[in-house]
Amino acid sequence: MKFIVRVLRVGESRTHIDHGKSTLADRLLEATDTTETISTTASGGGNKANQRVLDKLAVEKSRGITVKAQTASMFYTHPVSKITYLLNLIDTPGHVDFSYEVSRSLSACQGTLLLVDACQGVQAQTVANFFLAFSENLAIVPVLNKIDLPASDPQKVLRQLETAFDIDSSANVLQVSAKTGLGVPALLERVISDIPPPQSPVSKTEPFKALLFDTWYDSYVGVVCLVAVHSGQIRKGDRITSHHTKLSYDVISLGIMHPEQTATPSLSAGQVGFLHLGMKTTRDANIGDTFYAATTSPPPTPFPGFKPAKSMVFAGAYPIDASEFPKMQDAIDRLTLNDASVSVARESSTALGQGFRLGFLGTLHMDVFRQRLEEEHDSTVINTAPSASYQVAYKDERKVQGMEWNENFGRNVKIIRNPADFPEPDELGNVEAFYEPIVVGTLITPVEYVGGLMELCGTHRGEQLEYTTIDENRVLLKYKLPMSEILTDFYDTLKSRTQGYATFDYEESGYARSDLVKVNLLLNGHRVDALATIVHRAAAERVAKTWVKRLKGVVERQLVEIVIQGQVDGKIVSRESVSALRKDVTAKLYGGDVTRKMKLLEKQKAGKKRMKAVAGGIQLPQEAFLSLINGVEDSGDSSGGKKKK
Amino acid sequence: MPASSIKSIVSLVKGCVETSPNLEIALESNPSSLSIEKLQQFKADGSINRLSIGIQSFQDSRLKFLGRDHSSENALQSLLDAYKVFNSDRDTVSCDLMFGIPGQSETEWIRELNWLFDNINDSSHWNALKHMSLYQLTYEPGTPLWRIAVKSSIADFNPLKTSDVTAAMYEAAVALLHTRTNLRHYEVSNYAMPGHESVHNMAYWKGWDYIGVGPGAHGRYSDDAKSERIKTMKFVKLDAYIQQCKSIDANGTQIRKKMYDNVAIMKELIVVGLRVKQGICFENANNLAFGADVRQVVNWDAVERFRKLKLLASDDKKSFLQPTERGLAVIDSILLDLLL
Repeated sequence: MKFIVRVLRVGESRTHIDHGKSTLADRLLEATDTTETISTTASGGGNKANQRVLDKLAVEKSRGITVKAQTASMFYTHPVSKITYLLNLIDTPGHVDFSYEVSRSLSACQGTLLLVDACQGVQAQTVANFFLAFSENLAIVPVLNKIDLPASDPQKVLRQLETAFDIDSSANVLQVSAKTGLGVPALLERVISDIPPPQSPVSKTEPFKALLFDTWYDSYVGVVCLVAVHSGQIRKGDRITSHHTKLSYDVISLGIMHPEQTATPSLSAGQVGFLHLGMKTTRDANIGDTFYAATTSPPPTPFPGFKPAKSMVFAGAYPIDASEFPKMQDAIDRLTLNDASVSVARESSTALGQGFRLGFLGTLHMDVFRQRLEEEHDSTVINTAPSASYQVAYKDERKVQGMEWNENFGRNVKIIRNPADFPEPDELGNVEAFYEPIVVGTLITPVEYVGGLMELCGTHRGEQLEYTTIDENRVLLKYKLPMSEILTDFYDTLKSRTQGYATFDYEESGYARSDLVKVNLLLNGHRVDALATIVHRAAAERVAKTWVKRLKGVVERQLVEIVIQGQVDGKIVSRESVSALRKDVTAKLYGGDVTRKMKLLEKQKAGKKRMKAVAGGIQLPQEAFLSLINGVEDSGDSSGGKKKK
Repeated sequence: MPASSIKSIVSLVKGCVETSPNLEIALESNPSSLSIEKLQQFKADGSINRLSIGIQSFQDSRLKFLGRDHSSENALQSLLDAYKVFNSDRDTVSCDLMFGIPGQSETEWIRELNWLFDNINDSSHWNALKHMSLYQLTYEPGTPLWRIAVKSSIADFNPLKTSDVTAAMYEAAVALLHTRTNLRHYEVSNYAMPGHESVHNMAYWKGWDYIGVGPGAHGRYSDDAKSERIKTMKFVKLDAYIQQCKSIDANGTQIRKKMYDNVAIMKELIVVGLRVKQGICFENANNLAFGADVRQVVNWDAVERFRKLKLLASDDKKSFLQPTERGLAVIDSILLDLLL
């Protein structure tokens, strides 16, 4: 079959709520007969229409978000020219946390569909995605989605596009409904006319060279590599070499994603497809690597490669039962086979024993990974509060271990990813400066919420950089914010203050000097390392008070009184106590009650396995750690009616 | 139940088994079914020497809430009558009361107990006050009371989260009985003059064998030859029970015979044994477990912790384990950590 290749990507604008992007991908797959068309007119078809073929992970389907980029190849015959084209579609995550996934997919693309919700208008993520595609020199095809909804206002959104991106609103921007399929045929025609084919000539005679842009682990065939073929051709049995590892492999099998793996005799320049190379671990498959025909001499110039994924957020993960550590290690190993962007290091905590310090690309990435870990591990995992990665410069570096050279500061620093590594009070005299990571956040909000958002950013130590009115009732704000300020409740508060209308996106922006202190929580005088956090001095007392209160709210009464204290710089600044349990005994236990009592006891003992004994035998429920992070409503003294017994 | 029925049951049992000369024959009764004549018949014809009266409360409004058909007035009268009739040294009358009833305060509860003691004293029956059972009201899932409690959220279902009102009532009663009466706290809900503890109830808590007769009754018996302990339970439904009693194999009316393993036997001995102040003597307990060492199901590190907290008492030889007065009040929580 003859075909002309186009590689495109669907970029989108919203996260969490919108299903527009993956739904459009579904429609494109159907319109090209890649998947069966699902009737949306049949009763109950509304839900089926959102089946999200390309979202393969359970967590993606359950949360309605795309975490991992997915690829599909489609054949499209132009209705007028009757030429058949091969379109390679890459569905990428919309959320900022996964921009690492986005940027590596972009390099395999020639164009992007910039999807904008015709009801919601331009969002913070749209801005981020636009400039990402723009910087990669991709052809950008703006598409207004959801025009079937009564609330859609295409004219207004077109004006926003013009203000924000200089996109000419008269340029016949496509208007579609991914839900009903309206406008999808026109969209396909536009892809052919506006997105150029891959630049390299389709030459089968040149030596084979391809970019590795994604991998995953399959328990049957081992590592599956997704490549964009740059030049030449590859067939089953060919021998290829990795530029990075210099290892050579025989191609066991190859093909295109249609949308599942479909074997083909060969892959040629311009095509995107999969390779089975018998690779045992994804560690050998470096995203951004160049594969070339083993016979090529001298080896070709490699592709520039990708920046490795950089962890922004760190948190501890511990098994609730120490004996489950090896099992948890296995679960993490399995998960990281498919998500190499999670950094994993072993750590141990006095309170929680052996565990892991995991590094994530952002908080959503963290949430998603934690959910997958709990499912994969099939047991309770204790997650500690997230922390940014801080840096400390010392006056006398000889007294400090583990210093690392920092290019930007031109000096050695110590990197702190765990509050437990924060300098002790007696070491503070030797500290010259603390540095914390900074982000630049973009917020787009209806004008009536601007005041609330400016106040929110203000209380989170934000510094305004930009204020732009993008249409008569929408404002774009840019703020410089410390990373740590957006780790916990910032996003939720932003959503609740604007009834979900405001959107937020951020990019990292280096480090800034900051006055940091560590807040410790003490239980009956014992410091619990897993409950410590690093905050700005100005917030320290407030955090110490809030955390102590929150902890009191989740700690159950035990056989001893529990005194909870918050400590800043070695000084106690807050205190609460949970009095000792005074009565817990069955009133009547006679002959007929014994069997039932024994059963109840076994049940309760099983329930206790979800508790972790920390300082002095005090038992903390798993929720204790989470409540500190998420600030579960301070229900403190309210009745315990909902509690199980 | 007429005294004549009791008489025939007692003589039937005495004809089957050898009984001890100081045999205790106990009867539970509601105050409303008691008259002087009936009490006398129970004693004379039925050989009853222990009578428990389910009074529950001396407050009419509380009795109404509990769905009892007696008044506080006839409850007191029945109790004093029983004291009058069951007046020998070997006789024991127990008064069962309840606390933790919704709306009831600690003050009201203590006032109620003091009022009772004043009346017993004034009627010169003080020496007949030999046993009391003071139960905290519990809500059994599925009962009407439980449904009321759920609906009006009056019940304290989780002792770990609740207010301390019932704990205060419990502690106040322990203290009052200790100072004002000759009764000793010997089990979570039971108080007795020494020598007047309930013999059959002590059998449950010591882990002895018992035979349960009647619909839904449980039993335990040990087969020493096989080193096995067997649980028995009768049909719960009255019709089914009667039908089975009438059938040919009426001999074995058990519906369930379940041998349970040694660990379960040992754990049960700990759970029931720690409800009594005197605690567990491991020499005795080991005998009941066919010679196995019951101490092996106990987490002795936890015992050490509880000893330091003065919730449990033991000796370095681990020959016994005993709850302290404070430990008894929280023994369910203790057991969770104590049992391996």
